Amino acid sequence: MKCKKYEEKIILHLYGELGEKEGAELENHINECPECSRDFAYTKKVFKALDKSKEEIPEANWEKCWREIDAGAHKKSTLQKNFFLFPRWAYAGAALLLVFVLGAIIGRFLFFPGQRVSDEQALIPGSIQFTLQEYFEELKPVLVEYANYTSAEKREETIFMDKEIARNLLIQNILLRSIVAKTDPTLVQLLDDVDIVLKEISNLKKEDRQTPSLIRELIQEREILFKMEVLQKI
Amino acid sequence: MNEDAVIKLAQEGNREALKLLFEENKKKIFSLAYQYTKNAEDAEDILQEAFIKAYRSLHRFNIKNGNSFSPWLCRIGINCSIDHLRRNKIRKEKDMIVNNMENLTSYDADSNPENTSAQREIREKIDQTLNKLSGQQKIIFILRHYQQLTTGEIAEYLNCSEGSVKRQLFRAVSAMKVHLKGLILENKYEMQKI
Ligand SMILES: [Zn+2]
Repeated sequence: MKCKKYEEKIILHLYGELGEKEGAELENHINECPECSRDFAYTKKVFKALDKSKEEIPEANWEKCWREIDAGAHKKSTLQKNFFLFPRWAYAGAALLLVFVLGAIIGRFLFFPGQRVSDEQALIPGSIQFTLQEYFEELKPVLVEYANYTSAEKREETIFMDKEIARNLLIQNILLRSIVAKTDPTLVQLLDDVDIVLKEISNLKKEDRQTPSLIRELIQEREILFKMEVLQKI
Repeated sequence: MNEDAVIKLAQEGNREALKLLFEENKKKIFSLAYQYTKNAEDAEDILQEAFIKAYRSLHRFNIKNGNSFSPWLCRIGINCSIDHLRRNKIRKEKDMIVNNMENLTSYDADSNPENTSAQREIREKIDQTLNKLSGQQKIIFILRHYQQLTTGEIAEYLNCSEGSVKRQLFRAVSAMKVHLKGLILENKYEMQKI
């Protein structure tokens, strides 16, 4: 297809998302360009087929759903439940948290000397969620950087810093992973994916041009940033 | 009673308030989950999971920032859908092999006269294509095409740029165009009926 930019515009136009001016411009082009005219006609057919095969949404058993929600909402979350009901686990978790907090304090001291960690918050077991959010905040910029990696960039100067940060994050990741190990499988999967990424970054070689691209693909493929984003909203 | 007041009550643990939020949002979340999983039971599970998760983190929902509840809940629903499908993927694939024969018969026994074989073939192709998309592309396509949200709204829901939503949407629709080509263009079936 020669008119690549119109291909995208045709789709947006069919969704009614092109402004008046852009829409008119597109229509003018379609009238003049047989190729785009064909593409427009075909895309319309595809839309029709999609609409036609849109499945009717069945009725759910709303009462049953509500009963489950009502019962589930007033139970303690699995995270908290596991923590309080299994003293041995809680003990191990608290010990790990302590190490984690120490790691975080040391980490912050090294890399963000201007910021102070609020340790009383981090030490409360119920605040694992909070700890997690904080961890994501630290993790995100590193991942974003690698998600947007292009080989043209000169990264040699920053690689040393990245490696240090990744190692620090890796410790936090391992600890968090063990704390949430038996709770939310989604979160565990996410932390496992992050684990691979951080290990790759920690082991980066200055002259290695290929691994950063692989890391980028990994972040994109596993949709790590997207998942973190959604988890942070919860 | 306005939504803010209901949310505030629900945040305080009021059961009726939560019920009200459920009634107002159940269809939206269920249809989203159904379009994503194509399975009513799974969609019910997702609906429940999303509400329980929402309730437990309701204290973190800030009314004052002018946030509205529905998109926030939808985001949770989206996340639950993606997770649910992934969690069940392996199980489903196993079931599929075992129940393959049963599925085929039930498909043939479909009593809907509208459901001609051409349409069924197209529908199957659409489902196959949807399942080939990445989780994010699939959800963006469903939100735009079936839930009729604008790309701007989707960007807000997923907390990413509108440009990125448009790119993913373009990829999803392009995939549909490629995969449906044989079925739609070959004039094998009467297009007017489709
Ligand atoms: Zn053209």
